[in-house]
Amino acid sequence: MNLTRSDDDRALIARVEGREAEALATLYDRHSARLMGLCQRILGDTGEAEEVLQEVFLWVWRSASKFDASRGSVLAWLLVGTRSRAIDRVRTRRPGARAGLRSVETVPDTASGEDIEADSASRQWESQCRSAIAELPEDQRRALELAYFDGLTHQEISERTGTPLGTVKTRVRLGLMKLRDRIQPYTQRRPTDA
Amino acid sequence: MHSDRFEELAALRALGIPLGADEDEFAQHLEGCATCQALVADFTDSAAALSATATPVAPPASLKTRILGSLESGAVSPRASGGGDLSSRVKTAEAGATPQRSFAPWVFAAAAGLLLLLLVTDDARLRREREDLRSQTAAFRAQAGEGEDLRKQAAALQQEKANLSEKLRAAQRSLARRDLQARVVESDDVQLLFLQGKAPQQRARGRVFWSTRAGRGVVVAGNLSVLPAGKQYELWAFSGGKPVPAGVFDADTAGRVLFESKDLSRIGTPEKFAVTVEPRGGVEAPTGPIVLAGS
Repeated sequence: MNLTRSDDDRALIARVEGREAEALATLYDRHSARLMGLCQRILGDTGEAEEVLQEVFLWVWRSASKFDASRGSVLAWLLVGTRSRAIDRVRTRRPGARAGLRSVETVPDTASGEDIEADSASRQWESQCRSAIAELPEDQRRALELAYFDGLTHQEISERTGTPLGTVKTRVRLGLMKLRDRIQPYTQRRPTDA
Repeated sequence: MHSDRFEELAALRALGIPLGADEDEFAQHLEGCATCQALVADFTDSAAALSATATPVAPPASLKTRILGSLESGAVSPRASGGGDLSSRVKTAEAGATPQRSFAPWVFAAAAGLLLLLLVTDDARLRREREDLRSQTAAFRAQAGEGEDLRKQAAALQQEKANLSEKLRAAQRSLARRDLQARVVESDDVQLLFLQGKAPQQRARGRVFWSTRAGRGVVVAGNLSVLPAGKQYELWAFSGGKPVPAGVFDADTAGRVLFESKDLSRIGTPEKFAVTVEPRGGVEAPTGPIVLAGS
């Protein structure tokens, strides 16, 4: 998600909007492993993860014109679309079938798919994100993980952790603010920031 | 500085968490607030960072081919494994995609229609099977519940039967005793003998109702002492000047006794009766002090 990569991504989205399948293929090569990893983390099922990934790229093909750079990077847009579809599937499952949430500590620092994501800037961004998340206070990180990977509402997080609702909201807000402050140097400045 | 409340709402929005009652208000606010718009965008990027903790996984090469193929053909191929919901199977790529094949549009339309028909039929069949399974499961559960109830009822009935049997046996024993006592006491050959207390139980008194025909006597006594553990009163019937053991008994806490002797029909009519204090269970010949005696 460095500057160069983000510029490239926006250019690819513009080409996809112009119905260039090759641009979609490049986007796929660039981000599918990360999106697939996210799907697997949320769903815990390879088959369902592939289905969601397929839905996402068809959605990108149909809806590239809806991408708004002022609302975040292309990768963030893809991640939001992927996550929302995966979470929707989790919510339709019966509770017992839900994949367990792994905490940050259990996720290996060295991804097994490093050879897949060979781009050094991307790995630098990923490394920065991991250390920024690891530096978060435990309660803030836990609240963010429950919201992001389990798709829990703030009310559900409150019940799950036995924490007052207001405290949950505060933890989510402070957690995201800290992440923003630590990651921003590595993220693309949007046109509105310029 | 923006308010904490709007920052919280922006954070929730970036994570896709429903805002509930604040949804409309924040949406309206967001339209006119560039700061909050930027905040939501920043938070969205920050939330995306959480995905970095998920290990990248290479999707199978066939998936890319399938996706790109579906762009060209205009329809999404179902996965080889048969998974996925109906809508995802029939989703089509946007109509503006450039057709790469020479088939006439009606061929695609017919194929798509046929595929849709097959999927709808298959979906309906699966729904019916699911409903059948649900009904069967409910029936099995109901039967299992009834079986459990029956087992509990059977156990309760068994216990009640045991209680009633015990009551019946006790009633039969009581009835037999009363019957015997009635035969003794109301017999036309009944004889009444008075028993006098002896030291140290001078105040004790008793009577023996004796029926030679029944071969038994019934002792009614009062003012007897309650004996220590290991001791019991023993009745003696004298025949030919010799004491014959006629049974052991205890006095109740008020010193009263209603006691039926053993069958003594073999000795005929006793000459006299005595009660002694003996080891519990009785002895064959008297050893303890006489507390009641009469003839």
